[in-house]
Amino acid sequence: MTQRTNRKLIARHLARAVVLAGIGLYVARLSAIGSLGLYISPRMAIYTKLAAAALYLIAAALVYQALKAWDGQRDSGCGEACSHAPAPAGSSLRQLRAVALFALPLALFFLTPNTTIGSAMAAQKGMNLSGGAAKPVKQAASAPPAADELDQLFPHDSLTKPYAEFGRLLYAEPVIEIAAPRFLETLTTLSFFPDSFVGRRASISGFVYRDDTIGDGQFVLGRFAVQCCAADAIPYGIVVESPDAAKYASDEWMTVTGTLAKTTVDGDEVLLLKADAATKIEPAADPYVYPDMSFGA
Amino acid sequence: MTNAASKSRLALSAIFVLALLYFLTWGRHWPWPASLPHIGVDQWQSVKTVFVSLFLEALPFMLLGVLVSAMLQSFVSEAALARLIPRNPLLGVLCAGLLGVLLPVCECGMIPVVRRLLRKGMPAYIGMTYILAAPIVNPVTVLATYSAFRTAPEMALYRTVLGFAAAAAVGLLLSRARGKAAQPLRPDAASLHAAAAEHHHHEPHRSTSSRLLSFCSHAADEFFEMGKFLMLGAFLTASIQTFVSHKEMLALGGGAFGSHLFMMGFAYVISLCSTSDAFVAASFNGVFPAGALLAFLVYGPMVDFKNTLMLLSAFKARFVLRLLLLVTAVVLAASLLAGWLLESAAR
Repeated sequence: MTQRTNRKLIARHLARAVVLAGIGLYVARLSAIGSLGLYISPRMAIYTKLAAAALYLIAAALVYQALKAWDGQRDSGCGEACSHAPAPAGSSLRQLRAVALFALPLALFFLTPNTTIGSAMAAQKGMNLSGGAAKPVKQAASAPPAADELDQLFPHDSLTKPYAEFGRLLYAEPVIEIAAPRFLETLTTLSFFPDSFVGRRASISGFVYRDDTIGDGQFVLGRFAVQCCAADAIPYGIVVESPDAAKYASDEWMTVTGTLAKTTVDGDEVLLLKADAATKIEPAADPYVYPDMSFGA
Repeated sequence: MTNAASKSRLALSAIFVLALLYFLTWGRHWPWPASLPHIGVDQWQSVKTVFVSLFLEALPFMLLGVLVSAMLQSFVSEAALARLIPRNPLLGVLCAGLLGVLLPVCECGMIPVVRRLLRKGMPAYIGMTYILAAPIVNPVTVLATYSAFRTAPEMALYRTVLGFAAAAAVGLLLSRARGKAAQPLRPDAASLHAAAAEHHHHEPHRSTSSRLLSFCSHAADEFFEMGKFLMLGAFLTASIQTFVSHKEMLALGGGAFGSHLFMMGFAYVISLCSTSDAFVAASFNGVFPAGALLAFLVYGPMVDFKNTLMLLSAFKARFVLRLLLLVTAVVLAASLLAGWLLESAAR
């Protein structure tokens, strides 16, 4: 192995080690400042952390190999027979490009602030309004004749039973809290039995969202539901009616308490929260909500 | 690598780097080039958030795939593999599909593993059946689908059966390929490297530590090779998610045929993992018929934007294109049939 190719090999090992350790460091930093949750859900975070640890190990092995090559030992782990030499012409440039392809985005990841997705993304994905188009495949219409008032309010079949039971619990609350850990399940239950909940009091916290289907004096308060990572986030929310609606800017976080009613958005009948109290709040530490896997189990 | 392929890769990298520079400009308050549309800070932040989240989520699975691939390289011989693989194409395809039930690896992790197996002599059609079926039929995905479609639990079953059948059908069609078409792997530096290493590994005096180092070196090689495509795929997917609204896409899909095509196109561009896409499909429940949702649930895990780029890291472009067309035709036909059966049954 010539001096030149040996130097190349060392440079390559070190450049790769820096990139791998950089990815590991990025994960560690996100975790340390509590921002990892902006990108991946808590149940997936452990795998990403394990991957970061593995990348450190591989980076360490590469540094060790570079050192061995530096010492001029021919029997480095990946000796002459499978060495990366003989290097084809122009390969330095190609290798530089390969490393840059990782280093550049990584630098951007480090340098730009960590933010959540907001109402701009919700507009692209389409806000799912409570009581809107999403309906159970099997309607609860075929339920047996109800025995008492609550059964009449919450008719169900075997599949919608968990929602009907949860609906009864919510119905008994003086103020229905639409909040984590059952944000999504609460909104779904309200969607399944909208008529039963009209006139009940409810409270919700989330970010302000609006688009041209939302009327004057109204806005949507919603949150993103995340499964694995922010890429699969789906916005869910409820229409809020307030005389002060125009005062609240999009993406602002608020808590609203009011009375449930119904309205029409873009031809669909949806639930409406008539606000009687609205306060601006700090964005939630964890901006996303997650489906409750134990719901109905 | 052929000259044309290297040129197209150069062009792709150039686009990527230019886009990143563009991305960088808002932070530095450089003057905007007048010809470029103004893109707000919050949109770039959305791109970053989705980009990083896709990358971080795929990272552990890709790394796992790379490590398994490096292990196969070191510990499983061609002869052992050849004994395990059924000679009969039908049997082979069914086994590959069933293997997907047992080994729950998502699509990002499978490509390095399958490439390694193909290098060791596994027929391409068996490898592809596994790549197509595994993300759908594995228990983690079945469970996720079940919990997403709580009020229609049969969707999990339909998805699994349809996914298995479509993967097997594509596998059988691929098994008819002969000659060059049956050798879809792209020749590249890593394979030469591996072939040389093969020779090296037979030397008796290699110590454990040196084996371990070579293991790490192979893993790093493959990580960078796959990672480039993951980066590119995640970045483009994040851009699509940020700049193309679902409503605009929805406007494209009308009628039964249109809704199937739309949901498949939608699954392709949003490039979600098979363990989380069911929840997105469930949010379209009521907007689209069950058949179109199934098209989404089966097509997305088999091929999508991110995974096409990752396939291109291992397979020849012509083969990837053929596979895409084949999967599209098979899934479209299968989901239309399933939708029709479901509707007739409901009546």
